[in-house]
Amino acid sequence: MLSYIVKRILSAIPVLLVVSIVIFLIIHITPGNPASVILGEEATPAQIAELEESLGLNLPIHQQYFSWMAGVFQGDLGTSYFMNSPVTEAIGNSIVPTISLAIFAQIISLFIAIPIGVLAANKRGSLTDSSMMVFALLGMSIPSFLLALLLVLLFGVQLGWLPVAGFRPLSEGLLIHLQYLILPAVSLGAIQAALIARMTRSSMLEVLNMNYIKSARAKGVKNFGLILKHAFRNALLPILTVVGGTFGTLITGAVVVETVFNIPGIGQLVINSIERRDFAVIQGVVLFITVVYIFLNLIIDILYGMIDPRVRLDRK
Amino acid sequence: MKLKRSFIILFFLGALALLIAACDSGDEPTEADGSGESEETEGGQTGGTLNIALNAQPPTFDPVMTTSTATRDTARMVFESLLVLNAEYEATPLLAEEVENENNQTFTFHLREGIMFHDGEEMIAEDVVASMNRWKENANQASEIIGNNEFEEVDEYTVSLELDEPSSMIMSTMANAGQFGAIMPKEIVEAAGPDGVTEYIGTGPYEFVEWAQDNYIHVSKFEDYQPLEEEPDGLAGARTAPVDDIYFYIAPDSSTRLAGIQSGEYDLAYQLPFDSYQQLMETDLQVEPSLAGDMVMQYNSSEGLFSDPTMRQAVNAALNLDEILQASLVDPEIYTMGANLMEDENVQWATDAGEEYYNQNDQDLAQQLLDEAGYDGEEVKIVTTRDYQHYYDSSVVIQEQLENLGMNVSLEVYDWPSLTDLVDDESAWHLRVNGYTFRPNPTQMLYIQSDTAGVAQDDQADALMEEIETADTEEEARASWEELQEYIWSDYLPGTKLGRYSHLYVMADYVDGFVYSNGGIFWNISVNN
Repeated sequence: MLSYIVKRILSAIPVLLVVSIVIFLIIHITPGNPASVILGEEATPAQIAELEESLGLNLPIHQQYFSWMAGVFQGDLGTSYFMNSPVTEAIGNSIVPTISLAIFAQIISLFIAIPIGVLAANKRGSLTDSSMMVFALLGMSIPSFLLALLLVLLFGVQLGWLPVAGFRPLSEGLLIHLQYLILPAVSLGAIQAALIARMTRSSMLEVLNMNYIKSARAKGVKNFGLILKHAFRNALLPILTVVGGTFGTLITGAVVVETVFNIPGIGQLVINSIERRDFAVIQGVVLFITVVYIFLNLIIDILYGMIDPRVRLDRK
Repeated sequence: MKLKRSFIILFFLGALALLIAACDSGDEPTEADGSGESEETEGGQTGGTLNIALNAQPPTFDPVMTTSTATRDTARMVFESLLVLNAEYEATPLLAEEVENENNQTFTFHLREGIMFHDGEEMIAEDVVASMNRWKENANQASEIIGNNEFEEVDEYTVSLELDEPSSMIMSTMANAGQFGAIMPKEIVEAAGPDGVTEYIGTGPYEFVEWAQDNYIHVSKFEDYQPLEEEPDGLAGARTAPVDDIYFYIAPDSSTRLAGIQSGEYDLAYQLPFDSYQQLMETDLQVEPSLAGDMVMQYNSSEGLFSDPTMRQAVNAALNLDEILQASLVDPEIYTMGANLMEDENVQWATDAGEEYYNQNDQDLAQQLLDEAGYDGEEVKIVTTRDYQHYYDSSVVIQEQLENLGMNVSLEVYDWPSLTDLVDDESAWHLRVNGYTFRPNPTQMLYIQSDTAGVAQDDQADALMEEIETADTEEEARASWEELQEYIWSDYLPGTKLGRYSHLYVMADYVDGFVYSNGGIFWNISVNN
């Protein structure tokens, strides 16, 4: 197991290097100057040049890259030009709302998806099955921004039940924390729920057709216990893959929902930094997101081994 | 098995209860709720919290470093200057008690005594000297007038400035709302780097508490603040701080600000979309369209097709500004038309000189001028952005109008940072629509200054500008400006002013005391519910 983990971590290094070069080149080739954004339209070329020099933007591009990478290897992702604070600090501040949102959205999606998927599989071919799957299809088809805006209009503006913008940290209380997260989490979780429900159904159907399930039924095991204890656990592996993948998307892909609900998370940070041409933050966040993806995939692979003892990671 | 089932049921019920509880707790007052916590006094209610939705995060909280309006509107709650503009754009003392002016060349500033910084120290002349000299180095308009001269300490409460040449502009430049000369403690000024100060200590009615990046800026009432006794007048007069805490929430998405003010999440929202005006007027919210600046179609008069003034005059003659403004600014309630290039309330400078050249919509004249200029179907490139929808919408209508005139027009759309970068390359564009906020005097108007990208140098305009700057009296300066504005419209035409746009400020019905003067003013706002 340990050697497998080490191998996976080593194989991530070239991926990170390629990502760092590509993102660095893309954002430095894009027109736009952070010094102009900071100083405003009236700044003279001399003032812009002075700020560029102090930010290190006047150096040749390869020099800027190597100096950035030298910092990265020491855990320093650079300093935000716009916010004048370390990129790691900006990521640290933004990751909290994003993780809260991702976890809550994932919980909501699992609460919706697993029962729907299991029920649909159990009642295969029935009206319940069809209606559940239509519901899932609908969830996958609605764009998250549209659902977000509809929820805002209904629960925020019309009914006034829930706040429509912002984020309150857990330190202000669990209820107020959740109150601000409900609408964005539902918007974000709906698509994931649809995806997981479909995967749960197909995975359960596969398992329910296996011989050991038939034997269990023949032995008189009750349906509820059969599904939960015998079928669901064995159907969990492909579901877990989807959950892991979608959780990565929730952490890194909540750009639209964070913008609509004004949540100061990673997605919002990237969007704002692109608008400000804050190169340091953009490249730092992209690198961070890449690491998160690689890490999540690794965790999922390790969980495979724990859930299904037949999977032996070392022998792969 | 029974135990497991009970556990699952309990778990589901618990989660459900949590969600319902979260929904139900909407009525509870929170720290960031504009309601509650205020108390009735003779002059209205005091206390409470005001939640303002800002449209952009300031690039810095140091107002000396940038012309950003987001910095201007937030930082002036904390920092103050020697002079400020009143509602009629006259320079009026704030931290100065009195200003002695000898022939527009030698100025003596007598400081108000007993003014405290937020760190508990008293403001004295050495702080003012350090602050004003840093401002002079960073603000272009100031450094052009003051040159190598410096503010000097005369005694503990007196500061002087001597110029090489007289300038009738220095007082209004010192009072300018954007990139203003914020007075800070000397030690903080001396510790400032090229990207500004790192500690935000001022003398304003509110003190800086916290800036959670991309989330909010929190300022709270400064208890030792000493307001002027005069009535509030623009940026001048008494600043009272009735509200204890103000949160500026950074909400760049306009639909979020709109939903936030409608749902009560915010008490006041900045710059809502123009097309939401009618919808907002049907609610209980207070809607304040506040004239904020001019939307100008700038010609690239430095290089290419439009370096020929006859081409610029042809386009100016052709434009139907009613159509352009209706398409871009939507509602006549939120824009005005006219040739005046200075703010209408600006008693010193406002004039209609050259109005016969505004909104001509004369296609025959335009065609004649095009022929005279020898236009032969060359491509005219309009560059624009969707980041400011009204710039884009007006560009589309301009394109259509010029194509109807027989011109070959293309429209290129960029994001805002790319566009600002692009316009520095004078070979890359011909026309662009841009917004310019009001300035206290003509010498600060960017689109008539030849050091702005795409603006041609013009001897006659320069000579008239020089006359304005060195005029002995206000009357002489105004006469020169009237002549210059006429010349701008008739011949020079670095840009065509399309119209005057408003910013839509919207606030809850319990918010009282909002004033717009060179941006939103929040220090006299109270929350009355």
